[in-house]
Amino acid sequence: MRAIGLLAVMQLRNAFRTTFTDGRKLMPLLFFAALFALQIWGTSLIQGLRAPIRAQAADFLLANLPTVQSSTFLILLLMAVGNLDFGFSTGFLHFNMADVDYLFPSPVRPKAILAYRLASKTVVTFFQAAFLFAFFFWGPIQAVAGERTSWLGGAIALGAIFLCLGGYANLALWLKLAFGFGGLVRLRPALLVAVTLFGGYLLLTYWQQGVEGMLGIARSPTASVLFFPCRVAADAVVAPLLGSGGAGLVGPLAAFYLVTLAMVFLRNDAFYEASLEGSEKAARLLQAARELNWGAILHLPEFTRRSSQSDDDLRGGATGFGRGGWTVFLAHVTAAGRRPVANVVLPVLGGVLLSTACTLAFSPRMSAAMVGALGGYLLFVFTIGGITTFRQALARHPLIRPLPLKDWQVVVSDVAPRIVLLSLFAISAAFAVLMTDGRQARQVAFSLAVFAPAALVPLNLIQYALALWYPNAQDKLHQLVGGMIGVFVTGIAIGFLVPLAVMPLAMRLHPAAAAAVFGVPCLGASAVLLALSVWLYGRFEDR
Amino acid sequence: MLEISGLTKRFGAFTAVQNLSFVVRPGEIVGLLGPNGAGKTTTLRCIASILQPSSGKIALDGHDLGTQPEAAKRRLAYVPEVPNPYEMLTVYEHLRFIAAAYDSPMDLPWAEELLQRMDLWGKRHELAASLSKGMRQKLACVCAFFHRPAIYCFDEPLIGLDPKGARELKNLLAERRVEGAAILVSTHMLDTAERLCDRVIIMHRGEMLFQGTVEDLQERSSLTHAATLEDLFLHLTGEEV
Repeated sequence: MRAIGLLAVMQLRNAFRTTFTDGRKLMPLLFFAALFALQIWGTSLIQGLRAPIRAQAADFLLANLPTVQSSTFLILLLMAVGNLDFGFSTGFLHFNMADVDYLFPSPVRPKAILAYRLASKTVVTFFQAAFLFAFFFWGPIQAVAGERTSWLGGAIALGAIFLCLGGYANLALWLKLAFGFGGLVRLRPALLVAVTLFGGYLLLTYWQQGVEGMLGIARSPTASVLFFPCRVAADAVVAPLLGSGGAGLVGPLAAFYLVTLAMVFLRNDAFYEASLEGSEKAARLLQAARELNWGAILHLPEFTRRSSQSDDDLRGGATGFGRGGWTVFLAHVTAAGRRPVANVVLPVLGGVLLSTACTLAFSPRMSAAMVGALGGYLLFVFTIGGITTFRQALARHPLIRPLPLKDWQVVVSDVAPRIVLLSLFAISAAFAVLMTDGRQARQVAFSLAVFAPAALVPLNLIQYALALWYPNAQDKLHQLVGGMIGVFVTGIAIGFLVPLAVMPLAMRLHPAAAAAVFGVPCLGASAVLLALSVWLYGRFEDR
Repeated sequence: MLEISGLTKRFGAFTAVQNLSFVVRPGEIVGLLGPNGAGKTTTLRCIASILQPSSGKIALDGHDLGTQPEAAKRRLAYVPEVPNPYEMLTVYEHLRFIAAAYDSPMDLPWAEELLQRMDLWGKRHELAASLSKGMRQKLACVCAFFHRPAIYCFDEPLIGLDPKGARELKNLLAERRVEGAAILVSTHMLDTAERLCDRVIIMHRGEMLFQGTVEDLQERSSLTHAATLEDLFLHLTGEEV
C-alpha cells in the first residue's frame, strides 16, 4: 500500500503544483472561485432582504419539502444508475497504461491496486456530489432559511450523499468483477432501456397525476426497496430543514457503503487481463481505425513515401475519401458508420420515439412543446458528452498531424461528424412532431430541424475547445475541472440561444426572418469559437 | 532463473502461444525472435502477470507466478514495447515509486549513475509528460534496472533509443549478465540478437520453431545453405521473399 499511497500523493501534488503554473488549469479554478464568490454574494444579498420576505420564502420552501425530498431522491437515483452504468461499460476496470506497465508486474497486491482505482472514482464521485450539493442545494437553503440549518447538518447531508453514491460505485465494481467484462457490456442496453422506460413512466405519471404522482413513485415501496440508499440519503439531505440532524440516517448508509466495499474486496478475481480490455481501449480504437482502413483512408504510407515532395504535391493526396479536410471528415463518418445502430439508427429512432411518447403522454396543447423542451434537453446532455469524444479524436492526432491539412480543416472535420449525427436526432424528432396535429407542431418542428442543428455548431465547438484546453485524461483534476466548466459554459451558451430561438417564433415572424434572428448571432459565435479552436489546435501538444 | 513450461495463452478461439517451454538461466541473455504476431509480446505479458496464462507454469527464481505471485514478481523487471510512464510523476519520482513498489532501498548513487548513463539526469525533476518517446523508453529502462531484480524481460527495448542510449542499454544488460541476472529480450533486430544474446528462441504463430545458441543457429544456417541469419530466420518462419 505504501507504493500506491506514494504514487497517489505524488501525482496529486504534481497536479496541484502544475495547476498554479499552468494557466489552462488555473483559469477554471479562478472561474469556480468566482462562481462561489458570486453565490456567497447572492446569499448575502438575499439575507439582507427584509425579514418578512425571507420568512415567506422559508415557509414556501418548508411547505414544499416533500417535493424537494422527492426531487433529491430522483436525482440521486439517476446518479446511482449513472454509476452503475459506468460500471457496466468500460469504466472502473479501466487503468492508465502506466498502471498496466508499472503496477501490474510489480509485487504490489492486486487488491491494493483495486483500492487505488476505486479510490480515484470515489474521489471524483465525492467532488461531483459536493459540488451539486453546495451549489444547487446548500447555497440556496442558506440564503432563504440559513437560521434553520447548521453546518453540522450540512456536513451530515453531504456525507450521506457520498456514502450513497460511493456505495453504488462499489456495487458497480462488484458487478463488474462478478459478471466479467463482456457480460455486463451485453447487459448495458437492457439497463439503458429500463432507464428510458422509467423516465417515460415518470413523465406519464407527472402528466396524469402531477407532483403528487411523482411523490407517490418516489415513496413507493418498489422504488424504496430498489434504491433504498437513495431514499435514505434524500431523507438525510432534507433533515436539517426539519430540525433534525439526520445523523441517525448515516448509519444505514455507512453500512451500505461498507458492505458493498467488503463485497468488492472479498473477491479474488484476476482482473488484470479483464481490465486490459478497457485500459487498451484507446490503443484498440487506434488499431480499429487502422482495421477500418484508416491507413488506406489516409494513405499514410503513400504520404511517407512521398515525404520528399512539396506540400502542394501532397495536398489532397488521399483521393479515396475526398481531398483535404474532407478526407478526415469522411474518415470520421466512415468510422461512425461502422456502428450504424449506435450512431445512426438510435438517434433517428430516439427522435421519433421522443415525439411519439410525448404525443401519447401529453395533451395536444402540450405535446409539441414537450418534444421541443425534452429534445433540447437531450441535445444538451449529448453535447456535454462531446468532450470525451473529442478527447478521443485528439488522441488519434499523431495520425492526422503529418497530413498537409490546415488547422481549421482539421477542427471542422473533427467537429462536423458529431454535429451531423446529433442533428439526425433533432431532424427525426422534427419530422415526427410534424406528423402529429399538436398545437405549435410546425414551430417546434422548425426549431428542431433548423435551430437545433445550427445551435449544435457553437455548442460542439465549445466542447472541442475545452477538449483542446484540457486534453490530459491522466490528470484527474484536469479532467474533472474540464468537465464541470464544460457544463457551465454550455449552459450559459444555451441560455443565450434559447431566447433567440423562442422569441422570433413567439412574435410570429416569417420563418426566414426567424432563421436570420437566430442564425446571425449563431454564425458569429460559431466563427469566434472556430477561430478560438483553431488557435488552440495550433498550440495543442499531443499527449 | 526464468522457467516457462507448457505455456499456452488463448484469446477465445485464437491461440496466441502454444505449449511454450524454455529456461533463461542466471548470467544468460536469451533473445526471443519472431515475426509480428508470433506471440512474443503475449509471452512477455504472461511473464509480467499482465495476462493470465490459459495453461502452463511460469517460475521466477523458483517462485511459481501462480501460487507465489508477490515473491515471484519481486524478482522481475518488465519493460514494455511502448513506454507509458506516469505523466504526472517526474523522472526522479518514478524511481521513488519503483523503490516503494519493490520494497527496495532508495539507492541514490545508483539512481544518479543510471540517470547519468541514460542522459536523464538533467531531466530528473521534469514531469514524464514532457519527455520524448525515446526519453520515455530510457526512463522505462532505468526503472527496470533500479531495483536490481534477478530477471529482466524487455520487449523490443532498442526501438526508439538513440545510438548512445542503445549502447548504454546493451552495456547495462551485459553488466547485469555478469552479475548473474537472467535476461529475456524480444527483438526484431537479428544483428542485435546475434551480438547480444547467448541463446535465441524463434517463435512463429505461437509456437517455438528453434531454440539454441547463436552458434547453433549459424551452423543450421550453413546446413540449410542460408547465406545469413536473416535468410535462415525468414526460411524458418516461412516468410522468404
